[in-house]
Amino acid sequence: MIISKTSSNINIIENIKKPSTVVGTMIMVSILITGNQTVTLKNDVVIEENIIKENGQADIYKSNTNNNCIFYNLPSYTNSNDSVEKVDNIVINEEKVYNLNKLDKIAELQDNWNNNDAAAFSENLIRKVKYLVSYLDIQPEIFPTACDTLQLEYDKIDGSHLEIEIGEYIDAEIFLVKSNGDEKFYTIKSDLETINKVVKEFYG
Amino acid sequence: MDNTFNEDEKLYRAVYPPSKSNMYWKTDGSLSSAAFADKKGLSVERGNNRQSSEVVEAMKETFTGCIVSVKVKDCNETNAVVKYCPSKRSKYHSEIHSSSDVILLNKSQRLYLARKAVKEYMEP
Repeated sequence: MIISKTSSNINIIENIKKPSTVVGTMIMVSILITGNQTVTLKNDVVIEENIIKENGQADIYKSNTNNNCIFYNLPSYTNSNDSVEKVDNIVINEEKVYNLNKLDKIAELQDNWNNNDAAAFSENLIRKVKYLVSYLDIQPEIFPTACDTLQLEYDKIDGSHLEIEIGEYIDAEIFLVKSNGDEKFYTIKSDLETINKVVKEFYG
Repeated sequence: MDNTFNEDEKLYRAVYPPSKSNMYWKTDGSLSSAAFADKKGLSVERGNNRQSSEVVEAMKETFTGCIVSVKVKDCNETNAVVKYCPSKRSKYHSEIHSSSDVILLNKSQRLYLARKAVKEYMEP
């Protein structure tokens, strides 16, 4: 089913509100993703593949569940024939939804959010981190800084600690503290593969 | 008051409460080092021999959220520098800097202070 902006079916998407509760079970969602919006699809919409074209970008929604589900839009795909091939499978779990919702809250912070002239976070940075969060194998805890960066943190029971500080234009800064207290600082490219590798090495 | 700090003097900082999307609070209840990252200088209120309850009540008139404290000696232990910077808003206003000529605390300093921070007031 293709849904154009002029069809009455677009109302399904327009009337959707952000969910107030989290779907507790693991669901598999095959989606082509753009934009930055959390929606809940009704039962009668989710089973069929839906392609929504708007402003030159296409969203494809499909779920393998009969239940109401949470769908999350992520950036980077455009409306072209090639884009149909770029459908990704994303596992959505509670931790991931929590982080994505938290990033929505961080995105709402206005200039001077810390009462010391910290700037609001750019859409690019929020989008960048949302993408990472959506595909990271192990979910971090996410915090805003007053340095125009977002900080992803991991902690292990043995006291070891990993921080990944991500800005809009810079590489990611890594701060690693081992269980014996030894500290290590270095920078990496802030792409998903590299960050996933760092996190996996941290957990061994 | 001047730029002289006693090692045991407390420095108080307002932090977003857990109720505000856990902006700075981890799931285990500890404070993220991100709460100590500010490129414009980490603002704190110096205790200046006041009781913590007195400082908390004074800060609640101006700030919302939680209030944590660190001691000057905690800053010294990580080579951070405390500077007395009274303002129109508060004669107790001070800042914690990474060094005498670097404002932003480095990651090690931020983590150290976050782990040393004492919860003085947690917004219900």
